[in-house]
Amino acid sequence: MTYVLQFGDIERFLPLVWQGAIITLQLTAAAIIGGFAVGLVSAVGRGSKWSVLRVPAAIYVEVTRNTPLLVQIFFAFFALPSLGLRLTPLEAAFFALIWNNGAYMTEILRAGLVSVHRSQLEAGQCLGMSWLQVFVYVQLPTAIANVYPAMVGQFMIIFLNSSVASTIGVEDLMGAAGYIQSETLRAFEIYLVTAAAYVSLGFVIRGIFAALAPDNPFKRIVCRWVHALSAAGSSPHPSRSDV
Amino acid sequence: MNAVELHEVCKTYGDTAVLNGVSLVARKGSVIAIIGRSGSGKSTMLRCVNGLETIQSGRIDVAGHRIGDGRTNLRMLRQKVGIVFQGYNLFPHYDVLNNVTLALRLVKKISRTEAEEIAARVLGQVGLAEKLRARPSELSGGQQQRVAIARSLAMAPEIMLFDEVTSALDPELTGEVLKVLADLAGSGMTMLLVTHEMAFAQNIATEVVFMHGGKIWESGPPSQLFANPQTAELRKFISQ
Repeated sequence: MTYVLQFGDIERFLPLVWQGAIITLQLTAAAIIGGFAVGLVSAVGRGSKWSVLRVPAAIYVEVTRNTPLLVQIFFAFFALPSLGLRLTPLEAAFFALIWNNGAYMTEILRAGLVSVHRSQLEAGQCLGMSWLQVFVYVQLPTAIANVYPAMVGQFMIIFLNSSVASTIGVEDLMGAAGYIQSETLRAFEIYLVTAAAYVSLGFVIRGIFAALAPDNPFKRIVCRWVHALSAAGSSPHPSRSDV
Repeated sequence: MNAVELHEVCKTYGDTAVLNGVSLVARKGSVIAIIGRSGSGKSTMLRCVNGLETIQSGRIDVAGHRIGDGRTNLRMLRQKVGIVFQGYNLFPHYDVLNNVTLALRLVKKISRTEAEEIAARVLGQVGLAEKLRARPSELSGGQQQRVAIARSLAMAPEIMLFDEVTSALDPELTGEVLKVLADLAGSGMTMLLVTHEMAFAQNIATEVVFMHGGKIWESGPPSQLFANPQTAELRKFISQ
């Protein structure tokens, strides 16, 4: 049995695919940035010595990680209106994805924070730094460096899982594909295009995080150039750029 | 004038007494070597001096600050008292220059340019002026320890504490660190060192303190202490 691909039918819908890709990227960016912020707060809470912070953080993480994202997104869209919180599909998707990613980020960041040895924190304290300074400048950078691959892995998962938003009518990449499929009945072609779009976007996202990686040697070289250039103007330290 | 004064300091972990009434006076510019077996309370005493450990009774006066009354401003105190550890404890994700300048910029609020000048000076002092952009992981143990010393010196402390700073190093690398310590002692810095390097204690220290079971058993100039130990414990310790 052979199947002849006919992309002609779906060609006029390609702008929809493009718009969908942009929404997918917006959802992903929000889930990554928002999830990181939520995860950071909740990770600190989970490691706190006060149970008022520790217990809610633990409940949040356990409930979220033990329910499907689909349930969470349906809850945000269909159940929250009963509490008087009426969200548009896009708002509900943003909310659920940030909520979901935040729980996973909590566990990853927590692992990172405890991986930093006490003696590192002591060294910071002994130089007169405040607790907040030690956290921001000593503990957190090392923590992120230690769990960076796990973090990026989770970001890729939330990027792919953002497709769940299509189930509540968000016109993301997957939503657009569903619409075009129903209009043209060219399932094979449109889902082939959609898969290719996810692969390419995933490739770009991975590339961005690879470039941002704490141990990326290229980043250090660029930083050094920038530093050398900015120093050249004011007070040059010639030895700095040639190490 | 006394830079450090411990008066009847007691420290316990639960039921275990680690320091049993330790009294010690370090005059400005003196170099005090603290010797003794593992578990004798040497490191704990040192950590009490910059407030890393809390004490149960007694008092400690350090660089014009008093520890033990519960109102010590530890952040102010620690700017005057530097400490270097056995395990270096450099910040792994910063290069050498940033390891040294971080606290200068955050704590002392010194501009980057000025902080880097200070860093270049102290790193020169420990013989690592050419390693500004290296990461700690790219350095040998001896070099890392010298960076750690430079990082403390950059804060311009009045007193330096050294907690077995050569114990993790090969004999070969120990020498380069001891040389830095000797230079520092020669510059008039007040130093308290916990050490297992007896020869070093003998040559550099102005006073040697022997600790055993959480107490100071003997103290005095190294020539006198090593040549003429008064207690059986010290005799046994030296003869090993």
